[in-house]
Amino acid sequence: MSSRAKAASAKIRARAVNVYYGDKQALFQVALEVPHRQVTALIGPSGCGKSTFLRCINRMNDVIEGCRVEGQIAIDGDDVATLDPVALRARIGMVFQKPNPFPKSIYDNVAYGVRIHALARNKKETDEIVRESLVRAGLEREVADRLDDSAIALSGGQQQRLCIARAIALQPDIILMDEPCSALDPIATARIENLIAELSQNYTIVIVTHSMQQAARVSHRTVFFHLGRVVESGLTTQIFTKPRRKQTERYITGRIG
Amino acid sequence: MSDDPQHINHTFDEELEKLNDMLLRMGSLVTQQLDAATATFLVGQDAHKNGKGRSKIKTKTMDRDEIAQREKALNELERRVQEFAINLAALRQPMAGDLRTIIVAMKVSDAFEAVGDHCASIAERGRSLAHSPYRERFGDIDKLRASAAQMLQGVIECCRAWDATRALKAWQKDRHINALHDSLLKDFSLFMANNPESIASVVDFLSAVKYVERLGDRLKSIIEALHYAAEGETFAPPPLMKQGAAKAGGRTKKP
Repeated sequence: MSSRAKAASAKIRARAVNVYYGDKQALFQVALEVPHRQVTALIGPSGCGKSTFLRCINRMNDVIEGCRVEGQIAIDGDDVATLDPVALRARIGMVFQKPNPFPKSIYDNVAYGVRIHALARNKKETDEIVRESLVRAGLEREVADRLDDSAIALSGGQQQRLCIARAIALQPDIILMDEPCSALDPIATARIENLIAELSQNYTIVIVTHSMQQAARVSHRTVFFHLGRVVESGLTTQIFTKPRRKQTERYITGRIG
Repeated sequence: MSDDPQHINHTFDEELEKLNDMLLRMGSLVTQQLDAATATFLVGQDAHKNGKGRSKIKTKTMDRDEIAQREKALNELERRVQEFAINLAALRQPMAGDLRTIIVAMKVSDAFEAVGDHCASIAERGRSLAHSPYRERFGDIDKLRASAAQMLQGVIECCRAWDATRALKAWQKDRHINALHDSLLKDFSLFMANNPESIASVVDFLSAVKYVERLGDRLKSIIEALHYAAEGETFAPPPLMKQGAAKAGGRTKKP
């Protein structure tokens, strides 16, 4: 992974990002570059601001009352604050901790966004996008003969891959993942991690995870947040074998919580 | 390592301490092995004396069984270190300094075990030369032993504190050992040329000398590994040490 990690240019650039929830400041002067078509893992203890930062990228924080974001986050040079949030979120897929399929059929879950954003001209094109998305999410073989079944009947791991297929169907540039495996068993986790590696060929992925081992397994670069600040960011191999900052070392070796 | 706060999970600290204890026990066994092995050359001589005739180190020679027993104990400890380290890696999934410590512990135990093997080979040569008419001349091996013992002491201190900065001096000792080895080789080659009947004995002696030199290389590799564990960087000797190396060593008395 490290050879790819060195070559990529920045897809997302954050400069002096401060986030406040009412009077409480959650992020302090966060400056970060997320490389194009790589996996960047955000790690840190609970409440350190990693999920808050993730939600700044697709402006999910806009819907939280009392939340204020300062500074700039740019995607391909475009300040996200100046973009239409709906168009922005079409460019950025998001996968959450708990799989959240719609209470619809497997097919309709994937086709939903395709129809809303009018990405297909006819049923045949929609079928093709649904099939292709399921293939990319590694789910097509398991559900090909039951696309009309309810998505709720799928296992947790399958539901999560369906959510990934749903995100991919909108042909995003970026996929944000907020602890995507924390509700899954080790086999389902391994499938998602394998999928992340495959998806990183075509997408820029930012993943928040509490599992250091998962960050080490799936990411090219790792960013360590603590108390709302970026303490250290670098190649994952460097962070997990020889972190530059004592604070990072103490966190990843289990000396601070 | 040593100034880091404890892990939130204290049992991990205890396990790392246990790993360290096993390495220190290996170091202690190797120290005894080295003394006993080189002492086989000095039986009947005033062993381990300095120039003023005062005994610096009290050494008890060991018979073949004792040396074999210690070697067995070393092998067993090495096996236990390897097994324990693999368990720690699998169960604790260590990162950063902890990861380096565990990997390096495996390397250190492997090197200590090899040092023990070298000691056994040295003792074997010592015994085979017990009745050699040139035996008195072979006391020169004690100079090598003294340097190797100092180096080993540095390694053990470094291992105890898990701090390679303490071992820089010990690291330099390897150059000293190499220089002494080269000097003995040169002097005894000349001696063999002038005394062809001594060849069989001297060849045996020089092979023991070679084992001490290899042992120094192993100790050097331990220091370098401990440096990596502590600092996360490959050991690079400072320039001053490189210059100093040219002067290291010294001449041995001609046989």
